[in-house]
Amino acid sequence: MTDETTLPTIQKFSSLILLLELAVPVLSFGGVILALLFSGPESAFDIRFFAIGCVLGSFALAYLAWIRPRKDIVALTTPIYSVLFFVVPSDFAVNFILELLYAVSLTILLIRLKLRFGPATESGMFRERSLEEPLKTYCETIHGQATGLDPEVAHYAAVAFARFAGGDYREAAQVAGAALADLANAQSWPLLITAFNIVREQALSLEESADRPEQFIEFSASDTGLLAKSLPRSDRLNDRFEVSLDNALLLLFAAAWTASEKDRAALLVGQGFALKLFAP
Amino acid sequence: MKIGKVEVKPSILSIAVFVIFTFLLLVASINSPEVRSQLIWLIPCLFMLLVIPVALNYMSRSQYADLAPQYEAEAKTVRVRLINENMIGKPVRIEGIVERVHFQILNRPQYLVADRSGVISVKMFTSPDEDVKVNDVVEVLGQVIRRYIVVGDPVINCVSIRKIKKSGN
Repeated sequence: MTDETTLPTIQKFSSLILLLELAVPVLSFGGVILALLFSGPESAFDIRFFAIGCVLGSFALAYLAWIRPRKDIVALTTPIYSVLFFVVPSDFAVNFILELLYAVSLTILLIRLKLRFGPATESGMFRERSLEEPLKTYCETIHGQATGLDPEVAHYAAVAFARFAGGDYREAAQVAGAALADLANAQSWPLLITAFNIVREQALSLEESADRPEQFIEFSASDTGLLAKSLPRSDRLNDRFEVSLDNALLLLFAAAWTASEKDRAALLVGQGFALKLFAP
Repeated sequence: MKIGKVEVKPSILSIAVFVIFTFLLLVASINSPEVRSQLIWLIPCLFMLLVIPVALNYMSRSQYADLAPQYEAEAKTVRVRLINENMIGKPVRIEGIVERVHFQILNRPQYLVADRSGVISVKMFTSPDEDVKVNDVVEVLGQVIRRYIVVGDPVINCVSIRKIKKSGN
């Protein structure tokens, strides 16, 4: 079965990441091994040539740091150090020990990057090409309900989501209003109508920088099965207000993703925001 | 110190630099007649160490003071969770509790402000009007920017931060 949420280019990119991760120790230690092999006085090669492995390893590490959403400034600056140590003429000699220590440092930095700065698959690049969990699973949950949705309504859902994500609350409310007008004339999905109503109400409230109203539109307990987040206890008004919006926006995203393929690129741009909404 | 309507607050670091160099100059001029003969230009140079940071602080604070009413009018009050990379460049207002304060000594304070929905970094490129500490409940006005100008997670470039309640402690 074809995975709808992942484009083929991602698979190629994943193997490139793996290759680059392997390249960091292989290139740097490879250079050290070659330097060791050709370090004899009778050798025709200057061992400084093999420091190129450390330089290339540094660039690979910096690239791996660059494509992560959280940037590791130490890993990003390693190419500068490699050039300073191994390329720019200086007073200290490039020798086997320096290359070995540098290769060890690069490997430690690679491990640190992977452990502390998340996997590269969470990078911004990937985020713009595929759906990430738990958004992907939620879109699959909604798939059955949203498949027959009118493409125009689905487009409205995408635009309302995108406008809301961009902080254009007035426009988001207008688009939600237009969608509701369309939905009023058709036999439609009540959950989606509630979602558009919630988005419109809260977008207007945000536009006016108003406080939470005493009464507000929210999903009912019977809707829980199709909502991304479980409903808070009835006495927690603020939580209910905020979770209503999170659920409404995520529902619009999932409905648009399923029923409006032409809007997927725009939805992927707002994926970071959608993932943020899943946070408890 | 007030210049016009602007309260100027040079950083502790600038004052420390001025004090250290004043001390060094005093010691050097007591011990060396050569230094004493150069005092006519050394003393103005010494004062420039204080005047330049004060002037820079005055310029940035007066610029921020001019911007604050504009942001006051345009910024929308949002929850921290709603701030995302699609809002880069948008003026926003958040209310929250200060969880951490960094770099106040450099007059470039960075606050970690949390509300019920999340936490966000608030960067200010001048000294704030009020001395904001951890656990203060504050209102922040600013613009959503990326942490490292073109990359990184969204943070707030703060134009104004003020306490809206007594400290939580």
